[in-house]
Amino acid sequence: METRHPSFWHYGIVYVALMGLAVLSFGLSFLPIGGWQDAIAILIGALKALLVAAYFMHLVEQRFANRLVPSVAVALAVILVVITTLDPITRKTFPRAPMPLEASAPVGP
Amino acid sequence: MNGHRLAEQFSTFAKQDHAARLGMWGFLGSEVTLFGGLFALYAAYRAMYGHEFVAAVGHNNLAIGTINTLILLTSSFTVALTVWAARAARSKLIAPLLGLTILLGCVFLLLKGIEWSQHFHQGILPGLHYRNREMQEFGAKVFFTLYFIMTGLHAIHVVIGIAVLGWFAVQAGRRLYTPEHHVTLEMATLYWHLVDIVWIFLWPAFYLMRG
Amino acid sequence: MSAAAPAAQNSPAPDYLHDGSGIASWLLTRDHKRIAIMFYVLIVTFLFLGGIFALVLRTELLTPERTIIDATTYNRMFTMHGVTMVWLFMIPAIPNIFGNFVLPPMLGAKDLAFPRLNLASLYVYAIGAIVVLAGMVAGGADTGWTFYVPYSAETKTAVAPVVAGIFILGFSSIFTAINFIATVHTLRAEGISWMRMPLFAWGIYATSIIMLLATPVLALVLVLVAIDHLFGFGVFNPAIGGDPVLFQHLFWFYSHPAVYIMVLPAMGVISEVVPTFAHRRPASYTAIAISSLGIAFVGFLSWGHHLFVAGMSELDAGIFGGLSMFVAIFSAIKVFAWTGTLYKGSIAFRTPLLYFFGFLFLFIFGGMTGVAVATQGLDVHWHDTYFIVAHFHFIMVGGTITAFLAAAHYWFPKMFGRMYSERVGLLASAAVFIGFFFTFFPQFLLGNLGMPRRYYAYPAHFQFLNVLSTGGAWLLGSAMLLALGNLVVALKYGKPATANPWHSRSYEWLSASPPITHNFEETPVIRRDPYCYVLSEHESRERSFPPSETAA
Repeated sequence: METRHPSFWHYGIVYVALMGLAVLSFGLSFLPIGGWQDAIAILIGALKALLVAAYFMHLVEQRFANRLVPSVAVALAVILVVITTLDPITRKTFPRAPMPLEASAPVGP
Repeated sequence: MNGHRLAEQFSTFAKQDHAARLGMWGFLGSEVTLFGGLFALYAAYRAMYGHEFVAAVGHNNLAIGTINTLILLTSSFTVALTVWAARAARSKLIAPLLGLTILLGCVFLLLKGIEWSQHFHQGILPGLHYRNREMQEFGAKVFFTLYFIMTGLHAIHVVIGIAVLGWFAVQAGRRLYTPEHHVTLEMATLYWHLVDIVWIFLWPAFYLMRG
Repeated sequence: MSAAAPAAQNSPAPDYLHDGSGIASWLLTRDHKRIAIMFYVLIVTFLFLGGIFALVLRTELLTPERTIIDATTYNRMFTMHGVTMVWLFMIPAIPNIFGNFVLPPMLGAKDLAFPRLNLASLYVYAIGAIVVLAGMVAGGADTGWTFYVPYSAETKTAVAPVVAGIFILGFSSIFTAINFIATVHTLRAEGISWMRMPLFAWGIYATSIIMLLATPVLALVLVLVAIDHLFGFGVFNPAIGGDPVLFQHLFWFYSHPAVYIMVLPAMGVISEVVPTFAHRRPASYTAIAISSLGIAFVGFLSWGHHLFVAGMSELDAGIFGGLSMFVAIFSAIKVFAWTGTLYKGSIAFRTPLLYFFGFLFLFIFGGMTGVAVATQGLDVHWHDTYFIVAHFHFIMVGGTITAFLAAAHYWFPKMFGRMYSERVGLLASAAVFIGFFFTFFPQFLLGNLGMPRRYYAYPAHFQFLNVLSTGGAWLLGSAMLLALGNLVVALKYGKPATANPWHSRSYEWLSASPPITHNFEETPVIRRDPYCYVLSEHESRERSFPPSETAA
């Protein structure tokens, strides 16, 4: 762990990269490409988060265990998001979302 | 104390620091799943009410959201530099850097407050209190309820972070951090970075994703 | 016999029970053992509180209509029974009492990594418990322990304090989990590699991962219910487009893994008890250790089997049904490893081992019914009936209670330096099992016949089985009293225990009974594994400390 520490300039480069990515994400959000925008925004966000975690939070220089713990947490959070979201997307028998009272008025005989 | 003392259960400082870091990362991991649950709700509701979410995202103040993003990224940079300063034996810089970070955090909260009050004026309130006339669909109501809960929980974290960094700024004034012993300061900065990372994802969720 | 143990020369250091006296020396202690004892007192108190709730419920169900309480009280009573037993007893029981006490000596350590955080965990637990109790005094909630929306947001009962109390209890879990994880990583004594850790430590480690990463989601979902209940900020409220099914997703993301928070430490206890009393190396150390992690991981991926009839999508239901069955595979690996350990062992038939047999039966029976309810077609029939009640009581309550009692007897000499009465212990163990079986086995039949859970009244033709179940409950309650009474009596009147009365090879028995505050007079340096029954007790002790000591 007590190897070489990043210099001031390393932090500076990461900072510039983060700001650049933020501006890029901002700019791309005006492109008329529909749902692709969401994917781009999430990807750029993930990249930024990775930069912060790796360099500002020094995960690159940490021991394996310290990298493992947040990785497992992130993996579980992703699983939670994906499987939960998969539910409304793939509902067939049941309505995808609650309906306003008028719309879901009795359909029976 | 400040980690300068070797607790009796540890044989070396290296092990003690490792335990401290691991404990902190564990805590941050629990924060990740906490916000993970909220993002799961966001994603599932977005899957239900896609168009209404898009319209509601467009309604939010993109300028404030983006400026706040840049502010938090900058504050993450300044707080990361405190660890650099401690390691480079420039402990004089630590307190001012923490002060700058806290200032940025306060500006963030101020802008957030302005944005919330704009929402309140438009009758956009959480849950059953929602009064806005233009966006009456279910999706808009759910979106803004989530918006208040998620940014509110994040703002609480910012406030806690400011308090923690303030305490460390006072400690730093007493020159307690050295290249060898700064693990507690490092842990405080980790918390602030986490707050930043959460916002990195809140920003697209509530301001950018209009597609 | 242990030639070395009686020669535990009158050590200058007092044992942890006598190291300092007065209330403050307990309330402000950082000694993991004293904290464990305080947890012990609190948690057993709540076990009895929850048990009283259970007996009132069962007594009410003696007759088809009203017996002793009215319907609203009944609803509150089963909610309070669930809340007390789940969050005040089962979640903290084995980790916070026995994990706290035994984990550091098992790793050859002086204490946990963060002693202050450990004490904080105790106080947070106490505060959370007080808030929950205040909620109960204020009338209690009538939602069931699951707090399903939208009812939990609408009911006029005291949902908010109960939920707030559970929220606070969550922090206790997280603190303890952080502490255990850091301890296992950093405080293993020289020579205790990962694959030389006692299996209980593996169980506790896997449990801690779940506690750490699942509890925040529970905290979140409870806060969401509370702010809906109090302020109308209903993110799950269908009136504004919220979907209650999403509440269930998040709730069970915690509460399903929570079952493994309860049962993994129980499996850890069993994994210690069986080799000790079979006097034999576990049939497969690796299989038991790694399957704990496997259960922890798969446990996170099976929450949706609670939602089969909730309106979840077909695809999700299929995924969750399949993944749930993996848990059975990992559990079966453990079961075979335990029973394989007994084979050709030289078995000492003591109370903890008898609890293991009870555990084995309840666990297999409960586990197999679990596989059955993980199939969607069958679950539709059994969902929300007494079949489910019986299933989860068999597997998680039966598993936890028998292992809890096994641990209470197994480590009793270590914790208090005295021996309990083996005869009474064996009797109580048999009675616990019989009582448990008669309480819950009829409930399988009732559920299969279609009796719904949480109902106050039932048709008269269900009465016979209900009477059987109530009788079993009273027997179970008495047996628990007998078991714990036996231990309480032994605190004062038991024969003094030697350092290692069971002749175990696990590292915690290297300390004196009861241990000194720093656990070991000399820091262990381990040159053997914790189940080396081929070595004599003396030899295994020699290989546990630096050579200079044994030469002297």
